[in-house]
Amino acid sequence: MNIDGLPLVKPPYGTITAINLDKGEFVWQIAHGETPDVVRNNEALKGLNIPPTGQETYNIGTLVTKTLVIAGEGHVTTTADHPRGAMLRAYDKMTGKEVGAVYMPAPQTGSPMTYLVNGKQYIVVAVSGGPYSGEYIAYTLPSAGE
Amino acid sequence: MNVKMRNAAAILVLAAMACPLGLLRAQAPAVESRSVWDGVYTEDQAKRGEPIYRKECAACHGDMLTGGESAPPLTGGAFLANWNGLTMGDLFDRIRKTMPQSVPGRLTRQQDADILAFVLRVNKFPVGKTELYRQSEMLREIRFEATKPAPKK
Ligand code: HEC
Repeated sequence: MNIDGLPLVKPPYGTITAINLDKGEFVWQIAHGETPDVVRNNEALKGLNIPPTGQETYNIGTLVTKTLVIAGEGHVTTTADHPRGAMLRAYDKMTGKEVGAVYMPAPQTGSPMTYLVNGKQYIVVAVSGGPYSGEYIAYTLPSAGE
Repeated sequence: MNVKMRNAAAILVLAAMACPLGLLRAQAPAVESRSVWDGVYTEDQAKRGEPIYRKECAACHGDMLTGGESAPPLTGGAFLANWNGLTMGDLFDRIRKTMPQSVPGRLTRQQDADILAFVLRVNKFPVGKTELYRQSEMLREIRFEATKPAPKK
């Protein structure tokens, strides 16, 4: 349900939650994802400073490593920081604090995965949405001297 | 192209350049681009599209367009965000080239346009008096806007 693009439900629209399974308690919970364009640019909210609302997501999986939780966004946004696209974000596993983000041309589908080849770590993510029909994108750090 | 035709083309260009400014201004509203909020399909067309959608797309995208196990929704926030700021031509070509996923491009342009009219109706874009085009070039003139633009003053 929405009025002029504004969802009736209160944000956050999408979250990632870390749960301590021994105690059954939330360790942290964060809004995951850029505020949708229809909310950020909404006339009715002009002049208000809205913290990131996260996004209602559809089948977005996470990748958990020794220190990080990695998940991409499920919505396309266009912001001052990046062109039309979505971000793949990494959070500190212990605190939920965002520690990095890279640009994807389309939203994530499925879950990211990671692998090591000849000492080099890769992250692969499937993207699709809008003009992009399913594609895989692999990210890695440049080798020394590159 | 022979010489005579080339001359004709040159004369046409000149004529366009010589066109008085007043006339150009008078024509301006006609070329102003339209969006999905301007009534770009008809009720009849959406009605034609519905059974084609049910037969060709619903198995994956759901009866209510809310998506399935692996196919995304064709309504709601993420769908609208995917196409916001692009054109109906982009959406139409995407369907032509990749859908139905099992046999892409199997449907005719008319069928795809009718399905798209149905999709627009489910997404509550207003109906109009003319049918949605089936030519990509013409559909590219219709902007896809997730939210209704503020009324023009
Ligand atoms: C066999 C299952 C299947 C069928 C049948 C099917 N689709 Fe899809 N469709 C998918 C999947 C899976 C995706 C996501 C992968 C991709 O992006 O290509 C998708 C993506 C789409 C998208 C892009 C949505 C977006 O916002 O990015 C559109 C539009 C679409 N389908 C329309 C249709 C239409 C119209 C039909 C009927 C003519 C149809 N599909 C039939 C499986 C299907």
